[in-house]
Amino acid sequence: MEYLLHLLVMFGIFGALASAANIDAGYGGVLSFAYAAVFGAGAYVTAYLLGPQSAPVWLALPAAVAVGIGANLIVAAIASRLADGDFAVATLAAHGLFAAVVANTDLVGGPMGLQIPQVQVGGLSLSSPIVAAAIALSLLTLSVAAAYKLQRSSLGRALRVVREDAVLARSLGIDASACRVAAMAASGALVGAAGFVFASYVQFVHPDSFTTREAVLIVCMAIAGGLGTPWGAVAGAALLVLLPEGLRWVGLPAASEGAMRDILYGSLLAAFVLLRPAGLFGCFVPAAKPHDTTVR
Amino acid sequence: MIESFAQLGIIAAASFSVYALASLGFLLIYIPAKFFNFTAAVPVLLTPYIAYAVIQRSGSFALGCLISLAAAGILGGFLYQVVFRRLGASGYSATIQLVATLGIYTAAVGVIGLIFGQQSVRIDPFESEAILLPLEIRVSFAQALSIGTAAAAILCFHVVWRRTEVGLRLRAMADDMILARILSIPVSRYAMFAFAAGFVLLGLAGVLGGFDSALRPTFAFPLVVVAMVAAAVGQGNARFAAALAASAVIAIAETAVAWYAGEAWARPVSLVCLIVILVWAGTQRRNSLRQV
Amino acid sequence: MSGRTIELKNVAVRLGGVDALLDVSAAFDVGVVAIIGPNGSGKTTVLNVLSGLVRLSRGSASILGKNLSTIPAHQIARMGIARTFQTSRILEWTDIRENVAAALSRTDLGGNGPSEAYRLAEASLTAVGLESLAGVRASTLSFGERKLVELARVHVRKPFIALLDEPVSGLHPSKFPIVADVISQVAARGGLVILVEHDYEFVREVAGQVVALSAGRLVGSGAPAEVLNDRAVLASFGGA
Repeated sequence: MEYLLHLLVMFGIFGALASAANIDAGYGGVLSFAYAAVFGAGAYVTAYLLGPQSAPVWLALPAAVAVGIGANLIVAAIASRLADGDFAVATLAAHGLFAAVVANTDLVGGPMGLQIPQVQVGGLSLSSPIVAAAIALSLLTLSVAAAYKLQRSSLGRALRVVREDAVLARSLGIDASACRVAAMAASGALVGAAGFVFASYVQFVHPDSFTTREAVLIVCMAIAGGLGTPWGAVAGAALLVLLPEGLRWVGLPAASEGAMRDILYGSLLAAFVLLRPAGLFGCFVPAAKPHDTTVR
Repeated sequence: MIESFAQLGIIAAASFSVYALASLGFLLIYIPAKFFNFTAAVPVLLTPYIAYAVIQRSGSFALGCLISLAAAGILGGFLYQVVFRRLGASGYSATIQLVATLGIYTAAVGVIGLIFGQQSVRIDPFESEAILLPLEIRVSFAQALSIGTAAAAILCFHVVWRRTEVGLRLRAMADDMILARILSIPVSRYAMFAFAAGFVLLGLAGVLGGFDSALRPTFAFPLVVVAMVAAAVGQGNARFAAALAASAVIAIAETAVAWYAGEAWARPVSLVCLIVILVWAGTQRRNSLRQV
Repeated sequence: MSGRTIELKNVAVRLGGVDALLDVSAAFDVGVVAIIGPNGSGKTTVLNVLSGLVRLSRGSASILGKNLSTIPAHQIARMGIARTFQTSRILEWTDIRENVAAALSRTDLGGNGPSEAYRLAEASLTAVGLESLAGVRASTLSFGERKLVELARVHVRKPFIALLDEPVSGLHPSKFPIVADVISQVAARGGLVILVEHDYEFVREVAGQVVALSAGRLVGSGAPAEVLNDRAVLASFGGA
């Protein structure tokens, strides 16, 4: 039962992350691999404030959200200058930078990570599985709702034009950069909040929680579930949280779990992107058109 | 003072040697498949492990190298024939191919972790023997081998690239694949050769890089990052001189940073270089008339 | 600034090491202006400069007295400037009606909702003869049909300035009157149409003024009859 609750927490958190990726890639047409880093940034800020600084919760959560927005906007700034392929690699490099910096900065625990004491809000402990599951699932609901609202709004309609052809969008009077920034700020906020939920639940942040494996996982969830619809992220998160558990039941030794996850995430990502790029429920194929970079 | 700078110079030269081999290999596989191909990391990672396995069984370092490099070459040719030739023909965008190869690389890391476990292994045939040069500069056998191999490889490469028919045809393909076909160049055959040769060079980089550091499944990534910087600097047009220069700059910068701030801060150097180069190249491309 | 509709002063544009435009000066007010010249002469670059998609290396360009170098492309569009592209830019995955409706901003609609946008879009599709294809997915269109969709997009916005890049190239001659109609509607409202074209017959028919470019330089300007019969101008085209 406890384990099921733990799965729900992970499902909620990663579903929110995949939903954020969907907002950027599925609506905005920006395929970033930096989410694990932005997530990590939110988690680390939370841990640093709640741990060494003993700050109150009502300070840590907005800080995590703000950091998430800021980090994702930096990614947005890079996106505006690069073609799709280069941008994907640049976000992977940015992730690597984050991982290297965080593992070497003693202020946030370096390679040992940072431990935080239990966080209590109104008598409820944020690290209790039931409470955390409720919070995580609420966050997931919030992200799906945000995606849903975005899709139906005029910003969403403008984004779809930007997604397909930014030059055309500008010639039609759409401020492509502002639209992308708005979308990426929203998704950044979700990712930062997810970082807060994660850190307060696990009570421990460590560089190994935010590796390239997680970066690949988040994008894999978004693509496998399907881009361009609010439900894709949920489906992708369900698929990728449940499958490893299924494999556990088949009886693989615990030591190879990391390796099995690599194989699973990697092969699913490759398979979906080549064979069914719209994913399970998606309606948008990512990065199919080459970027015209001869005009601004 | 001079002694320690010279010693650092040797370290930088050894790093550069490994990076140069990785860059040459990466640029070769970039010719037929023009995108950031993460499967380049596979031979870098796999080859030293195969060498290690062969050495464990046979005791012969030379045999280990031979078999593992041959395996790398065969893998390269095979991957091109079976995977990349079809992907290219099916009209997938560069980004989709990039994401797919990232998936393949991640899965490959998992497979290696599964087979060899997460514990690190070492290839150290020389057992830290070294040559002592004047001024008390110490060059380990491993470093000497790296520098020597890289020098020989760069020389051979230059000769083949500039002076032979094969090189001429590869240069034509690097410039314009469609034009190469019109000029009756058997593009797929040369592409397969480029992949095989590229994988051998990448595998060589992996083996030589493996002397210094212990092998772990995540070991290949930093090398590939440097190779990608080189590719970005070469602007994908196979400007090898520029790519080698970029590798040299990174090797020197990393060695300097490691000496000044510690080993751990060396890794971010190549990542920062990669981001900077990509943004610079992106801005350059914006000003170019050619469609991407 | 004199406040002429469009004014180019000593404009130079350098793209990728090539001088796309070199010391071009011209001014336009109302009516229909055609830009002619061989490939690579800089015609599309002029349109790109005027729509804000390419930056000037030297000189100045202004619309209604406003200096273009300080205004981003989407704001230029909102000033009432519509354009088409040499290779039609279409939203592949939606239908034609959506493609045309996407051109209408909230201000264009005056507070009315999407249904008003669709109504206006359908009216424009009728004007260009594509009303029967309104619900068809754009990716299935032929080259000529795409040109007409872009034209409908211009029509629906009732723009003050229309920049048309080769509007009849690739179209069947029976459709030329449709294009001529849309052009004259913009001009009749007191607007300015600048079109890039290779078809000199069409140019003679619709244009009140012709500007000739060759290798990035202005080599002729004046009434169609003058410029199109000018031996010197045609010679500088290098047999194009």
